[in-house]
Amino acid sequence: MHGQEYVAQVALYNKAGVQVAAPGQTCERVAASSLATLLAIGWIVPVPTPGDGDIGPASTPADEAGDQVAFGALPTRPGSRRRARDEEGS
Amino acid sequence: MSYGSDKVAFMLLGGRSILGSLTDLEFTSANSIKPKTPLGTAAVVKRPTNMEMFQATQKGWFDESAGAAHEALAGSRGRSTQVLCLGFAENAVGAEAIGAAGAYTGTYKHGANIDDWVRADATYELSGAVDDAAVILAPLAARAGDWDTTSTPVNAGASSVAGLAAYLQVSSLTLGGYTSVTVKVRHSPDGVTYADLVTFTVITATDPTAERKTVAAGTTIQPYLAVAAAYAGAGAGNTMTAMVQAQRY
Repeated sequence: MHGQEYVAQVALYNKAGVQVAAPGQTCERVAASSLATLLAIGWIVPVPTPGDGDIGPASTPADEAGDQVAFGALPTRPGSRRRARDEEGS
Repeated sequence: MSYGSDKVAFMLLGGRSILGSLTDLEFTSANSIKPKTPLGTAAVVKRPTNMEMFQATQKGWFDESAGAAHEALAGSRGRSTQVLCLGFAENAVGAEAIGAAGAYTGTYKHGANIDDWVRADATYELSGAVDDAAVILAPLAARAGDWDTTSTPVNAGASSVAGLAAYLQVSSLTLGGYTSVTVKVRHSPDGVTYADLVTFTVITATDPTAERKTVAAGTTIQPYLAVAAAYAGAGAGNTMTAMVQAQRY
């Protein structure tokens, strides 16, 4: 758990009735002994770190086009259309 | 089953104590049934209607002084809905209690009084929800300022998902300049960190009041339950006498 940051999904209070985290806030004031339990029930979630694959700059149109090529959207490629026309003419 | 009033910790109707002194109490919790006999059937067939009813009778001597049982019972007649809470055995965290809420009808027959005591027969009938296996989360007590019971939670030992009914009874309230007070039931997986589970209606009036609120089935209710009350605004001398109980389904 050390080094990992967490974000509260609900308002959290300590035993003294003091709010220790609001929804969306990081959990520095939450009792360390509770973190694993709260994570298991979904009251807190880990803050994503670089390299997790779900953060970074938004995709550009070029990226999207590249994704389509990579995943086989061949009919939209100019070459594919030309090949299709050639096949129709033959 | 009959109880002497000295064996009952509290009996609150709409925030008002209706527990008499030197009375015998009898309680009945009933599920109604309805005839459903098809034509041509030899035997009578009855089916449950899934409607509950709570009945109580109390016979004996009632305190006639201001704010006591006699006044509360006489004033409760004609109110369409009420919330009733009964604490058996003791007024303590985790002790058993009964809660009922719904349409209220009551009869209160009283005779001659001796000093501040009235001989009376009271009958209460609530047609609605009955929760006869509740536990006290916050005993009936006077408390000053913001308060909570998160240091003395009730631990059910496991989480549950079948729903919950929570009862709040406020017998007296002094806002002391504050604009309102909000009472909540909180739950916790470990008794260390809590989140809100039930928020009762914000109280702005100082009259006795009561409320029953439910948590729908499907919501995960953590093992530990506690109560927290917080005032809004600013002031001084704010106090309340209140009790909270809850029943898991």
